[in-house]
Amino acid sequence: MVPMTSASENPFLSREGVERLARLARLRLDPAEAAALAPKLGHILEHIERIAEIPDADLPEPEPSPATTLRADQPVPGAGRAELSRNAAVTSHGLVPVPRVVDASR
Amino acid sequence: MSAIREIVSAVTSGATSAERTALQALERIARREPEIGAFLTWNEERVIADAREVDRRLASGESLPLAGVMVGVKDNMTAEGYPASCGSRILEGFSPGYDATAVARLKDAGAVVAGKTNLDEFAMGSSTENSAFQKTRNPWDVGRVPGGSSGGSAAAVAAREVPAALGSDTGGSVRQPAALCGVVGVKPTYGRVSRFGLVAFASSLDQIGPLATSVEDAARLYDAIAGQDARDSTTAPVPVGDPLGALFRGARGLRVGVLREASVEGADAQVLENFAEAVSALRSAGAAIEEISVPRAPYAIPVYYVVANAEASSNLARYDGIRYGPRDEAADLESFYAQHRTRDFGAEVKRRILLGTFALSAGYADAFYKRASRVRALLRRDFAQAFSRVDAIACPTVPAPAFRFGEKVDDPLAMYLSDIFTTPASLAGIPAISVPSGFSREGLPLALQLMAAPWREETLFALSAAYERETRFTDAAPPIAA
Repeated sequence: MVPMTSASENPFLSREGVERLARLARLRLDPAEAAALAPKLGHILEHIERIAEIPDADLPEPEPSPATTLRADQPVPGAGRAELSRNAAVTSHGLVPVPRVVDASR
Repeated sequence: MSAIREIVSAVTSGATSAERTALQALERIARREPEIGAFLTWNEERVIADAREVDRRLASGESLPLAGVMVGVKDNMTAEGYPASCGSRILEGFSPGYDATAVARLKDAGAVVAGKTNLDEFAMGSSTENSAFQKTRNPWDVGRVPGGSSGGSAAAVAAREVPAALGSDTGGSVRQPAALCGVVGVKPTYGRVSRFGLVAFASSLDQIGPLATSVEDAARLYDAIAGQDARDSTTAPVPVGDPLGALFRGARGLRVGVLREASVEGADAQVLENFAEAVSALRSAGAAIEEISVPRAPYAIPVYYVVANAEASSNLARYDGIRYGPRDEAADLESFYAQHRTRDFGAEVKRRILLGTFALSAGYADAFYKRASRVRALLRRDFAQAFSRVDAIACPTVPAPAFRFGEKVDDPLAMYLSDIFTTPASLAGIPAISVPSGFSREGLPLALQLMAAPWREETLFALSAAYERETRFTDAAPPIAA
């Protein structure tokens, strides 16, 4: 069996590892939440590591996605700005505002 | 017994109207919902208006194969005039304003949307306990879960609030709740039913399917929704065939493989006993029985929880709190994203996003995502080889009957293992059906699962209808439906 992650590498076995993944996933976990999640995720990961039991030589390459049939492009009327922004909690001048992205001081 | 055939016959003959049928269904829903909690929303005015439109179409001479049939729609599909919350706070109040193709096709056939049904948040779960909004109870024992993630659709059909419903199945989310609630559930071949208007969870697996109280009724819904759609490029130009004609072909001449790996998968003793009886009934119905092996089936759960979570972490990246859902302000964009995603995603969704993020992260993607995809390819080969010998493969749908609320909430792996028999067909993209197969000693429903080669749904309908005629387990309804 090929080990997939050694215990020291397994990011779910540490609070810091879970916090790092949470940052990548744009989630915030407080230290207590991260510490509580680590063993649960580690337990799931141990089960997932069973896929390492199959010898490499037996494994085919992943199958390509099935071919999709594309229709010809056709212009159709869109729903319009009012309809598309109807679900936004806040609009301003017909747009959906977001926090400033560009630093105004530069 | 076909509830849908009776309704359509009564409505089209003028013995009753779609409007009267709708009013009766609304009355049943109002009476049973306090105990069951299958629906997140329903809209009486809208239902009555839609039913009147069906009556008008009938009066103008249209032929409608589902005239007046009330259907529940899982709340991860869009239906005009209804919200689509996916059971999540992050989509609370979101109203998409258009019909999913499957919903539009049901309406074209004369069905009326009764309302939107409860689910595990973003269809992630096997008990419907992960809904952010309410608990759905199993009509056979209200102290137990209905299964999931299409638990609302299964419970609504089992309680006979509506004769049929739509669910979505990514790793078993139609078949597993159908099994726990004692109704029929179908997962069509990947690419058979349009996902336009279905909120994406794991795009290489998601498929819409019907739930109903009989094989015939499931086939009637399937017949209406199946087939290529220009708005979903993953639907294939493969003829749907004649699923209703298949119902009467019988099991004679069909070879059924009993899945060898089913007996070593940790199913409980009474499930295996019940499965052995189901195999005998298939033999009595005329099928030729042999043993078949799908050697990599035991790897389906670990493969599924890599592939599905990886795709989910990518699909759910779009939920940023900006364009819909409840909104708070934040100092910068990164904080805005994290604040909304942290506040509005539930625990299981966060867990799966983290697992998927890990499986796709630098340094681990080859060992996890790529390797899981290669095992998946091997599993598909196993199935292809098996289907060169048999027409269908049989195994139980679930390893145990419905469990109690809270029993598996703190043990996600135990919850994931509820899908041990359903994930293989999902990964292989093949069609599968769950049919009631009797009851446990506690009186809880058990179920038989049949799988077939891609696009061979007709084989499943022929075989399961023959099994149903042999056993009549689909005639049983829970006391609440009396």
